[in-house]
Amino acid sequence: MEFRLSRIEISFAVQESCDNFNEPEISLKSSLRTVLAESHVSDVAIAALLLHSLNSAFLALWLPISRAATFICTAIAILDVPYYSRTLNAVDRMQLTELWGNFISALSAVASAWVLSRWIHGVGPIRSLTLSCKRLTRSNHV
Amino acid sequence: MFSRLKHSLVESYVGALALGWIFAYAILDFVSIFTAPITAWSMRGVARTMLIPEPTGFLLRDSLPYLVASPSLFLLGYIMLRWLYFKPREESNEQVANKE
Repeated sequence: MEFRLSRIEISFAVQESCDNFNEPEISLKSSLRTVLAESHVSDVAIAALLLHSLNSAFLALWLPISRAATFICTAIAILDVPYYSRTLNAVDRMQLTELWGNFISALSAVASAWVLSRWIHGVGPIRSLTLSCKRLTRSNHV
Repeated sequence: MFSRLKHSLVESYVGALALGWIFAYAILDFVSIFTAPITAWSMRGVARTMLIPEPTGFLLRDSLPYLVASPSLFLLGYIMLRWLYFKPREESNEQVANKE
C-alpha cells in the first residue's frame, strides 16, 4: 500500500517538475494508461461510474424503504398493525425483479470503477479521486 | 479551425469530461453484455408466474444492443483521445542528422 501511494506521489512530483506540465498533448510513445491518467479522463470515468452505482443503489433501496415507510405510517394512522400479504403477488414479483436489476447494475458499476482505478492509479476509486482533486487544485494555484 | 477547437476542448476540460462519460458508458455497456441475459432470464420467470405470454427467443439476444454499443463507444473514445491528447512523436536531432 505504501509503495503504491509513494508511486503516485512520485508521478505527480515528476509531472510538476516537467517544463511542459501545462502542455496537454502527450507523445505517442506514452502508454494509454498514462494518457488516461494525465488527461483526467480516467478520473471523470471513475466519478461517472461511482455516480451511476449510487443512482442504481438508491433506486434499488428506494422500494423496500418506501414500503417500510408506508407500513409504519399506516400503522401510526390506524393505531394497529396494517394488513400485509404473506405471499408475493404479481406486482411484488415485478418490483423484486426491478430491484434485482438495479442491485446488479450498482454492483457492476462499483466493480468497474474499482478495476479501472486500480489499473490506472494503483489505488481504490475514492483515493484516486481525492488525489486527482488535490493535483488539480495544486496545478490551478501554481 | 480544428486545432483551435481541439485546444479549447482540452483547455476547458470539456474534452476530458466527454471522454470520461464515453468510457464510463462503454464500460457499463460491456458489463451489460453479461448481465442483460441474467435480468432477462429473471423477467421470464416473473412472466411465467403472471400467466402472460413469455418472451421467446434466444436469451443472448438481449445482450446484442450492448454488443454493438460497447465497442462503438470504445472506438469513438479512443479516436477522440488520440485526436485530443496524443501528438506525433517529434523526430530527435540525431535521427534528422542521420537522414541528412
